[in-house]
Amino acid sequence: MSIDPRHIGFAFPSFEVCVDPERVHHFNLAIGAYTLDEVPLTFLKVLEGERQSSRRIVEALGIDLRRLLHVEQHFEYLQPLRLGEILTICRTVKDIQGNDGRAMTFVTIESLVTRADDELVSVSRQILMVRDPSAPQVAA
Amino acid sequence: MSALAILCTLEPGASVAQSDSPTLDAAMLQAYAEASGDLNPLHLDPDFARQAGFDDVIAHGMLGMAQVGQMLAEAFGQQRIVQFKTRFVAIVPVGSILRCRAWLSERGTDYAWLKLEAVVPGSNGAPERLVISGQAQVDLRDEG
Repeated sequence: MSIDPRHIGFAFPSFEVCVDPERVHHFNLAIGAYTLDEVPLTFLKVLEGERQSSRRIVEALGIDLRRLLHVEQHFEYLQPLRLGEILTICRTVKDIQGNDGRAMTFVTIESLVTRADDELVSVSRQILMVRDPSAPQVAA
Repeated sequence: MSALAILCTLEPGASVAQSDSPTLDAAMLQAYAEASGDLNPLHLDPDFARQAGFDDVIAHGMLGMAQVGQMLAEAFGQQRIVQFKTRFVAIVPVGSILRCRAWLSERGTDYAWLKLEAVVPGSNGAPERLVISGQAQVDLRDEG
C-alpha cells in the first residue's frame, strides 16, 4: 500500500481535552493499575485520540485498518498532568517512509500537548506500520 | 531506602524492576478498548483479526506499554519518568501474560536510563518471546 508522501505535514485541527478524573479512574481500572487516581504514563495516548482524531488521520491518509499496526511509541513528559485540567492537542504527520514499492510503509505522527499559556506539557510520537497487501504476512 | 535511592547505588546492567501483568484476556481487551477509545476491531473482532492475517484478536500495543509503565510507576513513581519509549516488536496474542523487566543501562548525575522489555513467558518448555523493547529516562535529582 502506497501512502502519498505529500501527506507529510498534514495536521489535524488542534483541539482541547480535559484530563477527566472519571476517565483516568476508568482507564486505571482497565489496565489493572495499582493506584486509580494518578494519571498513568500512557494516558496521553487517550487524550491525543479524542475527537476520533486517530481514525480521521488514518482515513485522511487512506490507510486500510487491516493493514495497520502500531509499532513504536515515545512519550516525553515535561510537566505532570493535573487531574481536571484542560489541555490543547496538536497532531501532525511528521514523516512517511518506505513508499518505493517496499512491503511496509512507516508513518510518524507527533502530538504536542500544551496548556493555555502555550507551555509545552508533553510530546507523543507514534510510528505506524502499514503492510502492503501483496507482501507476505509479517511473522509475528 | 526507596527504589529510586537504590537506583543511585547500582551499576549498569543491574536488574531494577520486574512485574507480571494480569492475563490480557478478551474481557480486558474489551475494557481497554472502551476506556481508551481505541476501538480498532483487530483487538475485538476475531473475524476481522483473521482477515488481517492473525489467528485471533491481538492485544493493543498500548495495553502492553501500559503494563510496562505500571512497573515503572510502581518502582520509581511516575513523576520521575521523563521519557518512555517502546517498540512493539511482536504481536501479543489474546490470553497472554506479559512479564515486564527493567535494567539500568546508564546513570548520570541527574538522570538514569533504563532498558525495558516485556516478554510472553514460555509454556511447556517453549522459550519466552520478546514482544516489547524500550527505554525510559528517570529523574534522580534531589534523590540519593
